[in-house]
Amino acid sequence: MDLELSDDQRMLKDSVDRLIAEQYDLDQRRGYMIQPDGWSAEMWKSFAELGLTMLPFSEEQGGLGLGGVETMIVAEAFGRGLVVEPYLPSIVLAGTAISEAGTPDQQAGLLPGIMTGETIASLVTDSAITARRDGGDWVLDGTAKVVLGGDCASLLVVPAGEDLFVVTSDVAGLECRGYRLHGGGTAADLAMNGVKVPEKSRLGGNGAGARAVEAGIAWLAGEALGAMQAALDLTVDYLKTREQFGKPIGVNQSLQHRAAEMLVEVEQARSAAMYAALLADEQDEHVRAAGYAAIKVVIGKAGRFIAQYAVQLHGGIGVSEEHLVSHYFRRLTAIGILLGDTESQIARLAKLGGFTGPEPHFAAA
Amino acid sequence: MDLRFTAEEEAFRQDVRAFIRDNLDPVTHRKMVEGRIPDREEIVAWQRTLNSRGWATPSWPKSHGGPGFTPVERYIFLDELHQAPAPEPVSFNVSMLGPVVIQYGTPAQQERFLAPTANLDIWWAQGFSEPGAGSDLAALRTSARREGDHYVVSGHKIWQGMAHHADWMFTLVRTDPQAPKKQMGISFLLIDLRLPGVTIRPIITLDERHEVNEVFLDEVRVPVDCLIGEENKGWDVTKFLLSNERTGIARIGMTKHLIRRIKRLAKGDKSVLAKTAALEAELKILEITQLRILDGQRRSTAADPRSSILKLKGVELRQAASELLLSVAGPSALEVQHDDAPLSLDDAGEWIGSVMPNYGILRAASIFGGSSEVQKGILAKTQLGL
Ligand SMILES: Cc1cc2nc3c(=O)[nH]c(=O)nc-3n(C[C@H](O)[C@H](O)[C@H](O)COP(=O)(O)OP(=O)(O)OC[C@H]3O[C@@H](n4cnc5c(N)ncnc54)[C@H](O)[C@@H]3O)c2cc1C
Repeated sequence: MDLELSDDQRMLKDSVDRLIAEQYDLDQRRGYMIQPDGWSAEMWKSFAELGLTMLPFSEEQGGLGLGGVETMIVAEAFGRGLVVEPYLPSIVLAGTAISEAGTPDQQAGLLPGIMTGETIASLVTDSAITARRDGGDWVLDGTAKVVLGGDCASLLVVPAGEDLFVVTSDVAGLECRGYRLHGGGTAADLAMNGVKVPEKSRLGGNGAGARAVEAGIAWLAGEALGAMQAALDLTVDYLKTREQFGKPIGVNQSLQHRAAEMLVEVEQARSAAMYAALLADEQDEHVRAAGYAAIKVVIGKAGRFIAQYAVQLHGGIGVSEEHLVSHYFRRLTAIGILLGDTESQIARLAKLGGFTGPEPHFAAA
Repeated sequence: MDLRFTAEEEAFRQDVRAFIRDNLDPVTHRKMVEGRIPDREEIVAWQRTLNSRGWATPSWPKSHGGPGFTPVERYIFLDELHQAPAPEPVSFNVSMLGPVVIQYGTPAQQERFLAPTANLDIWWAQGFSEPGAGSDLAALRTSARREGDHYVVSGHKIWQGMAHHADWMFTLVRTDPQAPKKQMGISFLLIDLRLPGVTIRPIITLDERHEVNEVFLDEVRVPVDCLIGEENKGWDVTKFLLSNERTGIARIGMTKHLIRRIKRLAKGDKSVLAKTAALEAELKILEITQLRILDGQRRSTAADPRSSILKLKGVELRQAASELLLSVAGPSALEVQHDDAPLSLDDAGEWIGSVMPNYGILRAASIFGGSSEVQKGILAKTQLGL
């Protein structure tokens, strides 16, 4: 057991934290969000220059070959900065799906653009899209809602039947309605009417979509941790500086205890994010599935708790668009809902049998 | 980063599990499974069995007769006991008094007390709380005045767990009522409960059990060689003891046992299983928090204020599990039954006679050992600077 960062990981953390601290305050973020795509192409380029867009890909794929812990470090910093660029859809979700399902040739064709950041890709995680054969090729029909980054992606990875298919956004028969999301980022609803896909754009299946969603949950856990810690920091600061009745509001024990409860939840979120980072290497599919369900439940619940009380302890300013805490509120709420909300993850974990029993630990001799 | 236990640690877990399975008396085991409290003789027998294996005192160093476990081994050992479930070594002896005697006792006191404490030849009670001194422990008033080679002790202690089983009581007394701060005039005294002037009176708790007591001390003459540490320096000893008590663990294994019982009684009921899953999710992540704190203990032996997080979340989840168990047991759980109801040694059926009593008495877990309010105060102060 060893739960400390290595020296290299610490260096990565320092440089990502510095970038976010310097480039991502609330005003700068506002500036990025009013760009045509709802995010900053320039910022995205800086991420690529730092190597972040290549980070999780293996060296054979041309990436940096770094793992879950490094991804968590980036996610945590992005959560603190409330980063809106499409890292989750393109690098984490679509990137993982293609890495898991694509043949070496398909990967060589698709990944380089994603890794340099020039291509934005997106993964449909929840769809009613069907695929039927058409000679040697395929035809896709159906709709998908809230496809993260789907409005700006030039490449879409679409699950249909047993397989994942790759389509370009300019393909005939595809309609895309993009919109901004509360909490930052963008998404799209898609409709496919007889979209033709050549056989060479059919990726394998083999649970790649599920692996991609697990990677997405791990990313969200890191992001949620960064946002929760930041929201708690803001709140504790406010308790020390805001005065009412002639003294700082933080001298009131009810608020001290609430802050302590928030700390407990942040530490649980930290554990969840670390577990998510390390679970990526687990080979047992069942252990992974149950683990990621538990992680999503905990970050969903802890995120709600932190979001609600961070706002509450700020008083009126907490619900203002002007104040950072309201942005954490929205992002944490969104994280709780995306990639399977808390209730559905609880149901999923129950269906998987949970972690313990019913049989006894052991029968007595 | 790596969450895995080493091969040696995994092997140790298997050893512990096999030892419990092969050596725990089946009646004691059955009682634990059903949530009953074993008898005095059963607890003593089990502690001696553990002691013969060298495991009765998991937190003691080798130099003083302990097994010298690493923090991880200690965790694994207790987790196996909790999950079995088997009785923990008596905490008053093993987690509280033993480490104090090791840290503050004279060689003569160590010689006299350590071995019998480990073997439960002496059963210790904790004589801290008083009617007017609970969370504010330093407000205690039990007095001790020096007369030659004795302290003469008078006062009223309350809530002494298992004192009716006990032979001795480690006791906080006020030796200097004039001290400028209330923490400064306190001493840590060992009192033989057979001495004249000691009266132990039962308190029956809401589970209709007799587990705690009041202890009245009326001019009890205690030899001065029973003073631990220096006179009037007992508060330092107390802080040391409480920090050991609190660096404990989240007792996740005990909650897992409750979850097993819930699942057996749920018989596939989807709504119960969903509530159980919600609990298990948090418990799984608390295990990671536990490992993070253990990992920190490998690097530094200083008391970790983050252990308040373990106590708070651990108790919250254990209480929630006991509540869910109560709900799934249904109205029959309201039938008053006691731990001495006949025991069936076959595995058929779940005895639910302890479910309501245990749900009730588990409320105390957020009151003793630093109440949840006190733990939150510690976190707000030490971790958040409030
Ligand atoms: C089952 C059981 C076994 C016990 N075993 C032992 C034993 O073996 N030996 C022993 O010495 N003692 C024992 N105790 C006593 C235990 O340590 C005390 O109950 C505990 O310290 C709390 O004290 P109190 O009961 O006087 O409650 P109080 O201290 O009077 O607390 C009442 C309420 O006020 C809250 N409160 C108190 N102070 C503050 C504050 N500053 N800020 C916010 N909230 C506050 C508490 O959290 C609690 O909710 C036991 C208690 C129980 C219930």
